[in-house]
Amino acid sequence: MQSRRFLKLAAVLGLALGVAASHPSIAQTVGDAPVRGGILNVNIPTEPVGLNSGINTTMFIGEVASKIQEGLIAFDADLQPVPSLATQWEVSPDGLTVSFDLRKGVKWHDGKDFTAADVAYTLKEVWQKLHPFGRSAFGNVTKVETPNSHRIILTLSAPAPYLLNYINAYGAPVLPRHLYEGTDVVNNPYNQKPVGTGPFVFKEWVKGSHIRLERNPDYWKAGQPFLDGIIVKFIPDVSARVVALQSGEVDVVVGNALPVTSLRQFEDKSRYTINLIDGNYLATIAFAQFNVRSAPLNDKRVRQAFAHAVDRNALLKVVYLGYGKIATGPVPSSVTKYYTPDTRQYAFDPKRAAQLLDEAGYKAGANGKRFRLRLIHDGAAGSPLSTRTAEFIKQALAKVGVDVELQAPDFATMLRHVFTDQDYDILVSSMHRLPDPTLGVQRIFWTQNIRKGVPWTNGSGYSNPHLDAIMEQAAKEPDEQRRKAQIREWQQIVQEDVPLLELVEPVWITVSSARFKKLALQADGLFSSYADAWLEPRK
Amino acid sequence: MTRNRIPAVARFLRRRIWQVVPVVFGIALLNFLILQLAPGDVVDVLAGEAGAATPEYMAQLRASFGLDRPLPVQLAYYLKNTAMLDLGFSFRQNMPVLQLILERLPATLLLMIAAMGCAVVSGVVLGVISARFVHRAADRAVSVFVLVTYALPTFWLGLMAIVLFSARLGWLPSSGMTDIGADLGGFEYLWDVARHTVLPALSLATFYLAVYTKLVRTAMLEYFGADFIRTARAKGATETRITLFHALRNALLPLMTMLGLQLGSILSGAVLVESVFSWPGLGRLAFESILARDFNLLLGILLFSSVMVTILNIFVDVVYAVLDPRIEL
Amino acid sequence: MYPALLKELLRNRSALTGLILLALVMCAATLGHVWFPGDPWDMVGTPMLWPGEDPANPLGTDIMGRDMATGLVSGAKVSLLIGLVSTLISAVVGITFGALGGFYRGWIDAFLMRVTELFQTVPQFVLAVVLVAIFKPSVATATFAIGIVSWPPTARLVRSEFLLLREREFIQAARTLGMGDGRLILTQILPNALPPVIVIAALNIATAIQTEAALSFLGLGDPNVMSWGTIIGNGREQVVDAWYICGLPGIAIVIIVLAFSLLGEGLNDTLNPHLKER
Repeated sequence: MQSRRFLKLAAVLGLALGVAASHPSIAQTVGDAPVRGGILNVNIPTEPVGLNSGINTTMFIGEVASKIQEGLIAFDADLQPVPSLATQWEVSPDGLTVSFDLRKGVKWHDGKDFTAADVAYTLKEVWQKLHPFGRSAFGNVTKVETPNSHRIILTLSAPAPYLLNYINAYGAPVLPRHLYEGTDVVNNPYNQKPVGTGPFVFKEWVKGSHIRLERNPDYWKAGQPFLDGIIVKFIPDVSARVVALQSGEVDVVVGNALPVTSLRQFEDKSRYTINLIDGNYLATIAFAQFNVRSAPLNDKRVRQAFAHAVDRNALLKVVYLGYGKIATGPVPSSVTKYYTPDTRQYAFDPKRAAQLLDEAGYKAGANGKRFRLRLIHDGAAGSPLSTRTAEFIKQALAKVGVDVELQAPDFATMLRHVFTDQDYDILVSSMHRLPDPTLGVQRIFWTQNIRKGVPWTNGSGYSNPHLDAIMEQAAKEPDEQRRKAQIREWQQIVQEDVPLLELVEPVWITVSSARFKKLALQADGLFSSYADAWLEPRK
Repeated sequence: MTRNRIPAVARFLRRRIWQVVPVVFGIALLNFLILQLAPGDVVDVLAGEAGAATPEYMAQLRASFGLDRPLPVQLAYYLKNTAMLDLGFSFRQNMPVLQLILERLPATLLLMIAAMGCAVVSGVVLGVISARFVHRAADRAVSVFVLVTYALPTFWLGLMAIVLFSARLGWLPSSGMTDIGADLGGFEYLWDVARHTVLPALSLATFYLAVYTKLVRTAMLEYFGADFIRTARAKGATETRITLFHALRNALLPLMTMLGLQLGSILSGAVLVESVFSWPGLGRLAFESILARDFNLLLGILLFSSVMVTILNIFVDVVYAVLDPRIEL
Repeated sequence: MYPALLKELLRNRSALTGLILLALVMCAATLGHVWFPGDPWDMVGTPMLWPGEDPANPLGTDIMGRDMATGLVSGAKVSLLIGLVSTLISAVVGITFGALGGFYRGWIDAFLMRVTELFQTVPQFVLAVVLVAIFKPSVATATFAIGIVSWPPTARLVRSEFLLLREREFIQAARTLGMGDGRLILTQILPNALPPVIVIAALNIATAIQTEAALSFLGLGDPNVMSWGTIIGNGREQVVDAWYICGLPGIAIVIIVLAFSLLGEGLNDTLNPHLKER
């Protein structure tokens, strides 16, 4: 308990991310004197393709839909579950039964009552069948019972300790059964004009421009939401976004829509707030993934040499401008329950790198070159940080005699090269590790997840039966202490073999006008409902 | 005089429309085949953006989108639908393509009309000044000015305009078409839209300005030497009157032809300007659809714009012929 | 004939200005690395130094501390290369289409002109974006794509020249002497049809350079090559507080485009003297 309180404090202060020292702008979003009324203008970079996170977990969808739809639980600032549509929940000691008590008196936006039948339907027909992560998150659920209209009991084939770490409004939004049952869920028109239980009601969507949400007067939490409405604006150009926040055209810019390079224009705390914990739930790590199927990257020593060759401190400083933390392994430090720094680390040491490459038999030729590799990245797909990271790595590897040819195709081409054709050497990208390693990390290393043609699976082709066994055991381990030990060993194995060079744990940055306030910060603040948000009057 | 040309116009229209059909068909075919070469499809993009998927889910999506059918079958379906003016469904946006296009069209039309209007009006004014004061200082100044505007890359000019007029001076908004939160009505709304249109329209206009100026100047100089101007001059018409009424009217004809030719390039310009200014138009939609492999949508936009351009060009030809009886249809 | 032409060209104010500007850019492209040696991708200084702030980086540094001057010099080379080669491609395709159509007329002409019309109706930049995205961004694909979308005006021009020239007496004479079609086209008609093609080529180079910059700006540039568009695209993020990162390469583009436009104008005056007074 003590440690939990400390963590909460640390998270609020931004300390948990290790950026407070270099960046004095800390989260000051939390206020205690809510003001009623006003329209909040929110900017997200890219227009979502629908508004149903239950079938498509693209972040931009969740960033809007989370205001309209709700999950069973939400997360507080240090990733502990707090009630949302479920008021309390219980996991049986053997881990095989999970039950939820649901909130009473909740109504859908169209006036119908919210009941356990809605949850049961969504679980069976949407989360289990159509949700991208749902098949793993809810895979063990064999039976769903609703003893009364506000209680739901899940029976599991094996313990699923990760379940409660995922089911918020973004991971598992509850859908209205009366509008979805019997329809083709993927093509249901309500994916475009959602009906939820959340604090805001969908009003209009002008394609290419904005989505308008209005206050839900019948919201279950008395007195909330404070705002009269939210307008979500899509501004694809980065510099236009900067100007839009400065000129007051928008009040909040979420999800790294403002690049780190622009943040120094928003350091004035009397006018702007920079919040660095909103995306902790996603637990993102930027990485360089090696295709271990062929030489020279099939040699562990070559991969270790690369780890020594890249100065990640400099990378963090030059590319991320300090907004983030050096990654020490596959589980990010924000997943405090399972993270361990006690793994093999690779200090920046070009000499050691050269020595390892020599040992592996790749001696430098007369021109100082050892070999040539292709590095593909998703920079053209809208991640300028990936572009710069790739350029940084190219320069770093050149110093140890490795010639890198950069490839920056569009998103679809990149996915095809890496996951379908498996025709690449190094991939620079980032992936969400989620609050539980079984959900977000296992997929990267598990032999069974080498799936041709499927994005974001085990793309390196790395296969280690010993590790497979540990991961499979951890997935169904009901005892928390034993599970922690298993996940610790898992991190140690991966850091020894380095199929991925974990680079940086970037932070998700929300920049807002200083007038924007909330009652509490959330580790999944990107997907906050904004029920407790308000705008202070202009001074 | 116009009346007896109506049958000729009708014959001309019939002939042109028959020429258009193979071109439109060719565009559909060409685009379809080029796009088939693209690595990855919309299902890859959807799964990639979602962050996870299973092979079964992806196969299921491909089947429901009809992407699992053999290529000739897909092509046949596509051509059949095109012939029936059905542009299909955008799997990514979950909406019929035609509806998406029509939603975005007004914004692009506004931008296009504002930019073209701007370019034509200033082109005519500058061209007239140039021709009137040919080889004098004003002529040279105009010629340097339009050369520089032509050399400015539109997207770069747009960025610089945002820096200066939106960020530094705060005079004009930097993005979008309206101030969405404001809920303005009537005249205030129009004023708001106008303010948002200024920067993107001017950025786009610079590219066309030079061509129009030169065209007007050339055409007017040609007509200054023509017989009927000499007659007018002999009859004692003032220089201003000659410039404005006789020479200018004749200079407008080549201008119209050029306008028709350039309509095709408007969508291209719109891609850049719309992404710089977050303008909710077709150009941006087209660019996004390429990256998302949303080929029904992209094909729809290309086909739609091609048909529009072709129709407008026929219209220009007819107007041209009606205005200038010497032209044979 | 050529020395005389050159002399006249040098007397033409537009052409002279264009040539001087072009010579400057060529100097930067070929000799620039003498003054600004090194890899344009090397991170050599403090990031985001303004021009003049540090004499070691006279034009400043970009977001990753790479020297702007070195990048601009590298960009000059890329722009010139892509501009020239893509124009060559478009000229070859355009001349082939125009020559065959104008020379043979009939159904060949009708077919070729339909194809030309088709390429003219499709929005060119959109098509270029599609091509580059499909065939992976690189200098080669950008060059190819720009060439492939920009040939129709050349084809139309060559065709109309051929339609006029093929009726001329000296062509008829050559034909009666039994000259084959190929030789007739290549040695008799084409040389006479070239002057307007050269003018349009100069303007095409200008457009091609702008198009390359636009592609790179949209993130479709060659990731291994520092071009002006790449620098603008990378600088776009911080354009509000460090506008020089976008500004300088933009000015470079304006200069090179001006150079080729002026040259084209001058060539037009010199090569098509009957249009001189316009």
